[in-house]
Amino acid sequence: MRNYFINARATHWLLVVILFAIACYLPYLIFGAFPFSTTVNLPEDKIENLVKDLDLPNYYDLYSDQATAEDKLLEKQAFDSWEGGKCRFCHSLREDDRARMAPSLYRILGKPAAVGENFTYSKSLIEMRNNGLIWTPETIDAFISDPENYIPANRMRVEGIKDPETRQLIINYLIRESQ
Amino acid sequence: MDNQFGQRLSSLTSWLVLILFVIVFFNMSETPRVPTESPEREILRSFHLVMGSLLLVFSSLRVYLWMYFPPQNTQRLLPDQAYTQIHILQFMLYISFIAQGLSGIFTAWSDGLIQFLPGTDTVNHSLWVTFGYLHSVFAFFYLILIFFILLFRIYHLLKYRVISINIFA
Repeated sequence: MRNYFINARATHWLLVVILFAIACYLPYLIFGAFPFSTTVNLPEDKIENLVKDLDLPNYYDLYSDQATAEDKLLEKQAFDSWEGGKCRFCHSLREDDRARMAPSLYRILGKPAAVGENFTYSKSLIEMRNNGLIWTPETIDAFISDPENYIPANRMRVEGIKDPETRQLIINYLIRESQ
Repeated sequence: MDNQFGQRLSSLTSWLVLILFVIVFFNMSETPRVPTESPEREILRSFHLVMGSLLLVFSSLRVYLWMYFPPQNTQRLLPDQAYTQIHILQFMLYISFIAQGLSGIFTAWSDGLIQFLPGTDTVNHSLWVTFGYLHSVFAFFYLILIFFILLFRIYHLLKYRVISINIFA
């Protein structure tokens, strides 16, 4: 074994090192994953300051009381499925859930962008927060229709959802699950 | 352990690792397409934990055997240097399986999925993020290694007229 390591050519090991370096970068490049989390992104009082002067409605009252069981199933499928939004694969949507690959979307409507705990946001999203981006049904719709175009260099590496009906179902689901 | 028995055990372990790798590969390709919190997802995740642990155990055994019974170049036409290249990549493949397994155990541990002391809270989000990232890194690493081993095999076929489909040594 010892002789094997001694006799191995340096260039062979160099190739292994290069391949490992590429492997280290790929989870970030493909999934937008980050190797560490930031415990607190913004203190609670600063988050409140970002929205206190805005006259935002209570988005959670907007959900239709007329929604049927079938509507609710469609909303869930739009959020969950691979063919729909694929949101569930990275995001959680319950109050007591920890942020996973991506921040929890519980009561996301009416919140400024990039304020969740335990998640390392991209600089571009933090910049958008500092410029006043608030998550509303309209801004979420615009973002998920074409994430890369709406916030260039963000870390949500998914294709936009082109179907407006699917986007609306997802927004309805965000409202209903946060009520 | 005599040499012949050691070689046979090495060969058997390699095949077991190959089979386990194929199972885990299809499992990890399928799991992201199943929504979280669904019963199917839980089953796939438990299956992943069991198969991944077995892959870790047999890869460790393979590396142990490798140290005492290293694979030999049995192909006369293949120069030693070219063989060493493949040899290193194959060795690193097993190392990456072990690293993948260890990072997987720590990911599951920091997620509260496995506990070594009952009733102990092991959930730690920062650890989960870091080990989850490493788990992903090693997955990409062994996929790249397999790709390069195949690439070198094709190159050896064209240049030295040596045929071998052996990826796992």
